[in-house]
Amino acid sequence: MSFPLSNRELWQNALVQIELGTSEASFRTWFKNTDIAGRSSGVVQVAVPSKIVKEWLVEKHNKLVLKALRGLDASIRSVEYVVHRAPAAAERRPARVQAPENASLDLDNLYIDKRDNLNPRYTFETFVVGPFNQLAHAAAKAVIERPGLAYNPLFVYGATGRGKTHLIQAVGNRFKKTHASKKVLYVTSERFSVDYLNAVRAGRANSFKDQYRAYDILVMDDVQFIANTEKTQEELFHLFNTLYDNNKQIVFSSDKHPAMLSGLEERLRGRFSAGMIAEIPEPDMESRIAIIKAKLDQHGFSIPEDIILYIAENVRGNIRELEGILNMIVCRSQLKGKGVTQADVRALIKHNIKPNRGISVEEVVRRIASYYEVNEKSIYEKTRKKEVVKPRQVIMYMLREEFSVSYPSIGEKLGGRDHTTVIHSCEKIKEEIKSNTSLEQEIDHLRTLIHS
Amino acid sequence: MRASTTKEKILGGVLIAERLTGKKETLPTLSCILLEVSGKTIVLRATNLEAGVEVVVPGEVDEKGIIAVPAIVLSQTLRSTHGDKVTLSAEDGNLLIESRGTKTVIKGMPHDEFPTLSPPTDGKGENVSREQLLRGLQAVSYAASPSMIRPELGSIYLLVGATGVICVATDSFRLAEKMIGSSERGEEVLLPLRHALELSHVLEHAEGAQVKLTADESQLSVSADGVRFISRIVDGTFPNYKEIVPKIFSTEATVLKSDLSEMLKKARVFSGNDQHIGFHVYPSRKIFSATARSADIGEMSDSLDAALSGEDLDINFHIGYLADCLPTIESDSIILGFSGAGKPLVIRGVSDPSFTYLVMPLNR
Repeated sequence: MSFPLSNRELWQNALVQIELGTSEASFRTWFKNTDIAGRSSGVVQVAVPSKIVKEWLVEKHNKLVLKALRGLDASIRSVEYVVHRAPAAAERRPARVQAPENASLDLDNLYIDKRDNLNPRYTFETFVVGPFNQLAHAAAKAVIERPGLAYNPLFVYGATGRGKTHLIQAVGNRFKKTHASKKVLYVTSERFSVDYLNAVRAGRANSFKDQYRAYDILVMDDVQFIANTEKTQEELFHLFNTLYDNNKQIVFSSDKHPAMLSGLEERLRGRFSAGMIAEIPEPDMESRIAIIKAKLDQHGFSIPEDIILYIAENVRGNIRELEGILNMIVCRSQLKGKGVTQADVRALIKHNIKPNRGISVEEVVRRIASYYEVNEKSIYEKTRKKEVVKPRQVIMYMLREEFSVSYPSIGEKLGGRDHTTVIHSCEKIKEEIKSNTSLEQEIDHLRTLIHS
Repeated sequence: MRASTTKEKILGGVLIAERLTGKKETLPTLSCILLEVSGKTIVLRATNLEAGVEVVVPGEVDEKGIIAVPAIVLSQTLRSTHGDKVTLSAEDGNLLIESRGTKTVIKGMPHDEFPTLSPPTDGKGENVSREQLLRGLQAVSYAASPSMIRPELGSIYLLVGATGVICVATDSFRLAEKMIGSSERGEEVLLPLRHALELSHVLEHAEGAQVKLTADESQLSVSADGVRFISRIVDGTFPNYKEIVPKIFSTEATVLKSDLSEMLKKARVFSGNDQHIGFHVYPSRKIFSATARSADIGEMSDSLDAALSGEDLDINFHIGYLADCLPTIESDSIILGFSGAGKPLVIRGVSDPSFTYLVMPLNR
């Protein structure tokens, strides 16, 4: 469907018509601060400032409004009136008059809309887009354009601190803003299971179903935590089907690709993969710089370019850590009352960020070998005993995946093997993980073992 | 139209309604009170489009009718009327007021553009004690922000549940919470401060022990005996304030409310324009003292009798923020719960868990 006029233009033109059909006094009283909140399939929603105005327009001016709108767009069939969600624009002036010397309660982090659990801080405006998250961002935008139709479900995954929650909450927030009458819900999978358990315990399982099925957009965060919960998964499965069949948008986030999620039923896994899967990988250098600059802007703070570069180079991966470092820098320089030097920043990073490359190949071999209870030396030897081959392949896989060591150098370190051998081993493990959940769990354990 | 009633009753109703008339010039009829005579009552209605009120005044009705007259003229006229009994009648679109030999004619205004107030929804709604709701609003309204820049801070948060009502207001420097009954879940409403003050006024002058609160997604309606008040509510999110109320204190002091109030009065004189006061709480030496100074006036240092526990602490506050809450605390002694520098102070009445006041210290 294409609209020749934007909502704003449509309403402005309609107002001209309406003004001609009514007295000036009543026009100025009843049509001040009105706007079009949204429209879909022939129904236009007009936002009005209060219920009194709403009732008046319904009773006295409905015909006039409808006629004016239809004159501009013949596809419009009816008009609905909704009361503004936001206060009148004139009241919103960003100025603070209060005494600045008094500390204020830390309320900013406590704004969570209880109806939909969305945190209004997470918006697209504050989301920094770079090459690394471009795909996820574009998918999210497409979802907003055509909810339920473009990509359903949208599945976003990536490691912690990459901005998954920010992105999916931004979808919810934007949708809430553009479609005043639609219902959005943000829920973590953990909360979903707890809610479900409580509902079952209280004998309200049916009302639980109805409640969740009433939403137009369901955003579920950290869906990996639903693993190994049989009943909750079943409930989610049915909920998914209902929403999906009614073209309601569903958005998931997780720390892994759906195929890699262990303890998840096959039918659910399949459904997760049915729409669009977008990964948010590690941010690249340019994106990190952009993120740092955006965060500094929020603080109203500036630091020299070379320090920004230094931080971007040395704090990788986790955006949350990046924020933490910036907060410390801002706090420190405010305390000292002068700018920070590169030496300060270096010290800060050294003390606060866990180095993720500080582990040697030998150490990895030692840990994995001891996990599989094989002799460390046998890994380097040219033996093809079955109990050694598997750990060796796992080691190669881990070195490749976790530390991005090149294939030739992995081969060289592990007793002078050819790089094709290494490639074969990595591919083999990669394939096996997909079908073998116990191997997957082993890899998970090893991952924590190596990084601890 | 023709009806008669007592002056006291009609004047009371007009005074409530007058405050809610619109000052907007766009629609002159909004500055009027609409008198609707039917059955056995005279209904007065006024609205400024954001809030509105309907007052039912009992009287003897001879003939039905509707008329709108400017609120100011009507209230002035009734105030200066001497008789006990007042007769209202319509004559050529004007309102004729007769009382013990005086006759006044007020020019009527066209009333066909006078807004209607949505009828009360039946069934739903919670009954609350009128007096307690009034006290609840008064206990917190001073803590709301006078500006609507951030609508949730310029409003009073009401949680209307089946077993009680919770009123909360904050301007981010302090926060006041008053619980009437106990209520965990219920309808959440953000009532703009301006309308909350009007509601207090209406509640103060209404009669009857109970009022009924009904909230939907866009308005709050409060019905008392003979009065119905409605107000637009703000759509916003009130911060989840419970999380910032400290549960354990590092320093606690119990003092007499009157002592603290006296001390603040004195400190106000010496603190000059800043209105700063420093508290020095030393449980180790059993000292609770306060200092205030200004370059032009001088300085004061007072100590109070207090029961103290916890760690030693020096902390500064704005006097106004501290003093605001004292009149609403009903107990004689109060507990000050400190959580260290830069953390909010909690003030509560001893043996009164229904009221909690949080105030942030000064930065320096």
